[in-house]
Amino acid sequence: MLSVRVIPVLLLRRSGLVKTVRFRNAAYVGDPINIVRIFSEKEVDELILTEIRATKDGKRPDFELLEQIASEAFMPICYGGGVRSVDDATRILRLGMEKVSINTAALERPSLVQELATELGSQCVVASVDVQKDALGRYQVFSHADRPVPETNPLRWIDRLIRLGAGEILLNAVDRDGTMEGFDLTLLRLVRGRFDVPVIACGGASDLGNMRAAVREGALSAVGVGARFIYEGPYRAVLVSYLTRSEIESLSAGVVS
Amino acid sequence: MSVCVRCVLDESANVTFDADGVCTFCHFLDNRKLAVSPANREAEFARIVRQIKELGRGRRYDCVMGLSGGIDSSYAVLVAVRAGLRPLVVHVDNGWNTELAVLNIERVVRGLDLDLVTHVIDWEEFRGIQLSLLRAGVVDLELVSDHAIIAGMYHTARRQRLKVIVTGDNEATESVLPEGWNHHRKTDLRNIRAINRAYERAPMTTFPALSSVGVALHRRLLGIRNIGLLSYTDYNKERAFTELERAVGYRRYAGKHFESVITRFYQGYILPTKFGIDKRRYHYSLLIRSGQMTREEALADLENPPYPPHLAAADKIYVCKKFGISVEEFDRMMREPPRPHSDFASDDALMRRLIGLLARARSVRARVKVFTGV
Repeated sequence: MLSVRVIPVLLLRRSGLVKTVRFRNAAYVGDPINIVRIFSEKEVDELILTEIRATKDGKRPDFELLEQIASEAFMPICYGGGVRSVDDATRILRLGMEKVSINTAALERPSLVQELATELGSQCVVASVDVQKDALGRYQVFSHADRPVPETNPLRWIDRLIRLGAGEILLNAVDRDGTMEGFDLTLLRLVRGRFDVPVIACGGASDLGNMRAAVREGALSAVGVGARFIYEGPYRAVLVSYLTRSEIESLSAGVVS
Repeated sequence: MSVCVRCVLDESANVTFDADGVCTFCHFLDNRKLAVSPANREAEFARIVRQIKELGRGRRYDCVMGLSGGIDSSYAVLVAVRAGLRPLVVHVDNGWNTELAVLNIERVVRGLDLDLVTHVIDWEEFRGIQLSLLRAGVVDLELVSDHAIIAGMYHTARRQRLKVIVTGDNEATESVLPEGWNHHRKTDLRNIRAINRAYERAPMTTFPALSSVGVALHRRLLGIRNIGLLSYTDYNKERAFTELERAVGYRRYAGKHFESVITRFYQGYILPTKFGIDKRRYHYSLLIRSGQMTREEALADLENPPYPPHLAAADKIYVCKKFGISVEEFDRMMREPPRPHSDFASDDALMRRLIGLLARARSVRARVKVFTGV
């Protein structure tokens, strides 16, 4: 069977990398060009790079910076943040990124997913979905840019995105983001086996055992990891790390595929 | 070019030779008062460790230790832990770390079960300050990194209320550099600020800064001491690599300072190209003195380029990309004549006055003592 894809998730804020906790309190962690280079030398499977200010500032992606970042990477990169048109996405792919992810733009205009899939092919269109529990403990689609949400039920929203042509779903558990307290296994059981495109579960990755549990409970083919690969120890010291090949192999142990 | 008969320094190190062909740097090192003489190393090591433990009794840590991921600092941490010290490890990240550096930091910290604190310098600030040094054409491009590391360690010691900073500084493989090979005082914040003001004017708000006076205050008022632990051991790099490999799975590396792209590019390309300085001459001379290399081996190796040309070419492209300058512009800077650090403001005069004042104060105290018998 294929081994699980373990994907570092980096957050870009203007020209610096940051890490958030529950989508808040962004802390500076360093220069994207150097950190991407280090991940590249660690031979990571893929990388997800999300710009968190562009949409809020009403800005386009910083194509010049993205080009510099892409030139340091030997692995596929998925970029998201401020992508609002087929034009934007085409430029990003031309710079040397392999995939584009959209979040707010899809909430505002779901048909953009369809346009992207038609023009560029589903394999490079990732739909990013942020999920948060409401006061009653129900999972709700959440918009970090405070946009009205066309569909509050995450499962139904993901169904719709896939129908529109999304080739992959990046599922962010907002309440777990940056906590390193473990993946939300309840949420992962909900999505287990439901969709016929890969779901990249993100938010809360802690230790190997927890990643293994996430892969098992969600029957996942990919996990996204943020804080765990950027921070070290009780003081959240900034130190880039990854898993060894044998650790990655061990994630799919016990998963019946 | 004549080369010293004992070491491998030549005129590029601004040395002269005596009638026997021995250079002034060799004489300087012969007359250097070692902090620790080889004969009482062990006793001194035990004493210093006992003192550090004493000062840290009942606390979570007993010292701050800097860790770059390079061999000296990594080995110092291993030696400290084996001696029973409980260091809080500090890493100052200037945006030039290699994968090798972060991997080795990870292995040391996890392997020895230590706590790590990092100070990530805002890259836009660091880029501007270091680019200013490059534009100024002064010899010490790493002044800004060394300054930040020292500042980061003192700041951490102060915040954690720790009295001792332990480093990998050692007398076996390093001493003061030959005249004109670097800026003599790494805490010369005034010089850094002046050079930055003259060129990039980068903000210096998060940059870990600590002036020479600041260091003096930390030492005198807070009683923070700085100890180069490896001077108290029979430090041998080859053995250090082997022990670290065994203890924590440390990854060995060949070149000097491969923990940082800018450091290896600076020493391997910028210094030789623009300043006619090959730092290997100095490193090898000290290795020869401490019996870790023969003069023949050193001379043979000096025939090779400082580091592989293909790596130099790749590093050059990367360095220019990180600085946000074109390769043409960089090459132009390499052709411009060097400028001394003293062309810019510095804290030299102030430090001379301070040292004079302290000396006077001491002599006054001594006279009072004689006079009153107190």
